[in-house]
Amino acid sequence: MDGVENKVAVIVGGTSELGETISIDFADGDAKVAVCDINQEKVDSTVKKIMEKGKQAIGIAMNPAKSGEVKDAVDKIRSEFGKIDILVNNVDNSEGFEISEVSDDRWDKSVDENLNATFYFCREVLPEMRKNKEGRIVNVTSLEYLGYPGERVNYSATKSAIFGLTRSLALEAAKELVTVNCVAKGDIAGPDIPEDKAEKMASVLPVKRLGTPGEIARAVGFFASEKGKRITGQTLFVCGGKSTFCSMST
Amino acid sequence: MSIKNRVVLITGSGSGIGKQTALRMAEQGAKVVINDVIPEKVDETVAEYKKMGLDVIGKTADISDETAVNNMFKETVDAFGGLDILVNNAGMERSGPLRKLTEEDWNITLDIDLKGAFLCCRAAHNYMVPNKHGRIINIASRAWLGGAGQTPYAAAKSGMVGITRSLALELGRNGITVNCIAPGLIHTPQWDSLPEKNKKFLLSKQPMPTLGEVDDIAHAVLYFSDDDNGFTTGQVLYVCAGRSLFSG
Repeated sequence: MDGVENKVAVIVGGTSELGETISIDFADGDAKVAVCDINQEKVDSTVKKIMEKGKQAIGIAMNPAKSGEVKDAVDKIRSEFGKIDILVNNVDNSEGFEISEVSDDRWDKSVDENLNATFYFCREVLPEMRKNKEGRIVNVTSLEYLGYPGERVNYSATKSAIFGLTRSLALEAAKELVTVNCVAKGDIAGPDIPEDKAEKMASVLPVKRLGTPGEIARAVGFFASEKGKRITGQTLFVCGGKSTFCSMST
Repeated sequence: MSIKNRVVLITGSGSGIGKQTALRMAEQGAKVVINDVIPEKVDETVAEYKKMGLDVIGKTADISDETAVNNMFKETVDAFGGLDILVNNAGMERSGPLRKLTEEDWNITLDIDLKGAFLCCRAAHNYMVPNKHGRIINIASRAWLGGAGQTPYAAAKSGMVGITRSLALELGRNGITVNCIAPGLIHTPQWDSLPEKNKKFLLSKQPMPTLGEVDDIAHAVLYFSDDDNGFTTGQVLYVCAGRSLFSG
């Protein structure tokens, strides 16, 4: 990744397979990386991988769905690195159910982890970016926000909300040249998908293969870098062309 | 970023967005074909970039002419040994209120902006398919969403979005991605030619109070051209300082 040198980048949800790829890509681009995620061991492991490359990172184990913990984390990052230039919201709880199975608790959990976490971090970080007249926010959502069939109403609804949040915040911060964009990830290969299922998923994509975490990370990096400085409020689908089946994807 | 040794053809690259995109791609080690309908612009650009040590050649051709397009691609492959990336950038606009628009206004806009892109895609894909790799980037306009007085232009640029999505579906299995960039207000020779009053009005409609630079589009083209970005296809990326977010 280039165009992020010496920038302070906060990667929320920075230890999942995708999150870690994003964290390491930013570090490779010589950004100072703050890895935020819920599990202390995973945070330590991601930070260690970055430090071993001789790059700068701090780790903060915290719950992004708790506003108080978000405030504390942001304070800590500011005291460590001075300011925040780039915020990547990558928290993702992909559990999905048909509506009769969505208990209040399941609904609240989806809202907390997929929407509230992103909202809390934006609320803590955006005002300072506007004051500095500089900053990039990249929200990672899922192609499933378009409402693909599969009885996953809680997931689709909360990922949709990221789309609206992105556009509204983009307009709110545009005068100060702060950009807010969204990357909608498609079907990504990973160890949790059995081979026969992966083949079936790939066969329906126009490009006939699943994506990689690196391909999502590069789109995030593009929006976060100097190169994306006049792009705001946009959603880029990195999905092997699957979004072209849907009218809402332009 | 990986486009080293890739062969790129950029239509309308004798000036403005196309010319800057050619520079950025050649700097990354791509072999670039400069195309324009005006021979002097091709010659000047090629001479300028060659002096910088960049690997460029020039092809003067009218992209609305089927034979000229097919010949240009054949000559490109003869010269550089293949074709990997096509940037459909050439375009023009005839605007005005509906009652004043002539058939000629309509035809010339559609011929160059839309038919030209189609002819280039058709010629280019023949060389991309056997290699199981290709990148097509269409430069449309934010105005495809609609603009009062921009009927032929918006129609042609909408057509480019349709081309993008259809070819993404059709050519994806061949390792070819097809994407579209929709620029907003960009500092080009056309922008410079506008009256100050119009410039001020147009900028006031934009959420970010800043005029786009040709480099903004060049960087977006580079993103889509990258060997490593083969999972992004069928997309429209607005580089418009947020102008696409609302109408009016």
